[in-house]
Amino acid sequence: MDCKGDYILEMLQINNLTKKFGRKNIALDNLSLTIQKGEVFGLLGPNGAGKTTLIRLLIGLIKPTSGTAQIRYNGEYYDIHEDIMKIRERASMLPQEAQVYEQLTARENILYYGQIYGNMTDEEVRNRTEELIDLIGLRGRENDLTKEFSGGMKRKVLVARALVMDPDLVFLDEPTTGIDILGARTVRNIIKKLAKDMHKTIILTTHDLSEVGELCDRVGILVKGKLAAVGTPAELEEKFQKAGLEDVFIGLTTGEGVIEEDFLKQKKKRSLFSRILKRR
Amino acid sequence: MSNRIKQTLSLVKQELRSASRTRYIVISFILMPILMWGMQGGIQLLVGVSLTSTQEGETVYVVNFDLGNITDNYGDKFVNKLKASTEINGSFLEGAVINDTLYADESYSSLMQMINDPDIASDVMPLIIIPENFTSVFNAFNLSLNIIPVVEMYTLPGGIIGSEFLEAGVGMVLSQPPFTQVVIEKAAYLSQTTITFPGEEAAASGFGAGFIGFISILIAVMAPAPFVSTSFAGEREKKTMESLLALPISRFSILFGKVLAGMVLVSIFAVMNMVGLMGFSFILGLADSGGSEAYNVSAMYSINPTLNLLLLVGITMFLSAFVAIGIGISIASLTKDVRSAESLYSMVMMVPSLIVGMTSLFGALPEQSFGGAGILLYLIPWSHAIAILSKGLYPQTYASSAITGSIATDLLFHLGFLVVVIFISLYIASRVFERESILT
Repeated sequence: MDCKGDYILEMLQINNLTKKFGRKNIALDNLSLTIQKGEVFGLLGPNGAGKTTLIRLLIGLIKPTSGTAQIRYNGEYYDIHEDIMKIRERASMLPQEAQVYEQLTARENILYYGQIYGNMTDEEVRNRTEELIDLIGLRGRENDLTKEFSGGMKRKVLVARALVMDPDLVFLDEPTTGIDILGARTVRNIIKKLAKDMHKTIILTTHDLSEVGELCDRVGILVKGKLAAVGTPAELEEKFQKAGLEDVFIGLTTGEGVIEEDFLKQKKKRSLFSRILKRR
Repeated sequence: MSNRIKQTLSLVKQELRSASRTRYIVISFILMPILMWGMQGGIQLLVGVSLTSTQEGETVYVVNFDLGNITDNYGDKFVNKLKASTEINGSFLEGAVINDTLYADESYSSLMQMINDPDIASDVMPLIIIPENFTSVFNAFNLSLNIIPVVEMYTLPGGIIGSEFLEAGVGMVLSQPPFTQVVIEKAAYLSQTTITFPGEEAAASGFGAGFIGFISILIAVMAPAPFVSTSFAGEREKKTMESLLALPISRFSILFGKVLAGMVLVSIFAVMNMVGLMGFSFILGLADSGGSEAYNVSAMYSINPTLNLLLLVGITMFLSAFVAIGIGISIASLTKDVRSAESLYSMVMMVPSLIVGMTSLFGALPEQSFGGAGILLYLIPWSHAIAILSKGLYPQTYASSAITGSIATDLLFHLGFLVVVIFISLYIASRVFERESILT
């Protein structure tokens, strides 16, 4: 199922998005990107690269310094400057350090968010909550206060909370960070289900390259606010002549590699130079 | 129901549910008012009981110069009431001897000479002098024209019946019909005190209401701290803020929902204070030794919990707490954890509320205590709450010091000021809450 109601997500388009904090701190520098419907897009980058900033801009938590992003629903564009509430009605975010409300039970946590979203009746919210409790495997613990839960269980509740209104677009900021292997496996399975069975569009930030390989259709590598490279893992490995995505990542982030556009220019220059050399 | 209202109500419900499951919020909003008032009542009861012992047979001299009029002599009535009070269990003058004959033939000037003569002063004090115009001034009593009847009292410094004791004892007498109730004002030095009659309003306007004002404001200002800290700084500390802000609900609606939840809690708090106040009065009433004219040893601090008093206390506490919430939200939105929020809140709120509370405790409004400069105290919002309480309960007492010329417009002025402060503080809070840095 793609969506509920009238909106069908077609595309997310980011145009020259820039964010500065203060005068000197450029968190995102002229970023442009297109993400297609149903794609699982992975955002890689070292700490401080701008991954979380990008997600916060797209969900409207912070305002861009310049540039824009648009989401196309049913042929119409919704801009992050003017239509952020409309975007939020169809998109959800799971922040990196998100926590549950510990004074509420698992069910209450999910119900609360469903009621805030406001685009479902109370009965629909209740039914959806029960579905999600089964999906995340917390049946039997749904009436317990979440302060008694382990980290992995809390993360499951958070995932369920993010999915309660059946969003088309899901932003997941390091969804498996800080939880155990079993919990991480469960979350990844849920993400796969969202992507493959429910055809959700997912933007996922992570430090775990194996997760990227397992889940993502395409990958973008951010370095110091710039988009250093975009493509499938295989494409990137070929472009940068590296054996694995890890090497691509390290090369780009440590300076051994170059920004893709510059790389292409460099490649062109080298070709010309080598041609001149060859002529000689 | 519109979407926005539904969203806001969901938020309010969640806030109240979380608050009801948070121990220290329950304690501060529900239990603390009852415990505070109960504790105060118990302390006052113990203090009052400990003061009730007089030296058996100690003599108080009374000289009545009152000329009276055709029908009445209030001076005589006063002396008879004094004598009656010595027979009452628990009275300040229980066991004392009232001697109104020994110096009955002395003139006022000779009495003054005796009081000032160190060799014989101890023979003539403690002494109560009722002036010759006592009845005529009493009948012509008019607070606004400063026609106030006066009784003079003279005690030895360090005497067995000290000035406070005699004041209290005489005050008990004068709190009974036909003298209605009084406020005691001390003159410049301890050996002489003057009792004045400010009118038919309760004795508690001197002590009881001032005391109530002090405790009320202190509780009202400090009680919202846990809720405000948890609801704002707590969400940042517990990392629930970002997810909440990413929902399709405006920040203003989130703020409004939290404030609405705060208002519900503050209303519960105000009601609990009214219950606590009734308990306070009940506990003090336990000192009553019975009988229709029995003296209440703690009567100087007690209040009569009329509906008027309870409503006024409830309203002033509600408004005071609401102002505190408005200011507290800004403070809590600037801090990143609950502990810092509570510390900063206490630092910012404690000093001004203590200043205002102490003014109230001494039974005065700022303009009474400090004249023109007292108006500056009205920059502190809670001064207006105290003023509403005092002027609402005792309009006659404070009529002469009305800022705007009349008590009614004064009340509107104070109420309006509080409402404006509430709006300004909430506006500032909304600006602070809208900042991007609230996420970091």
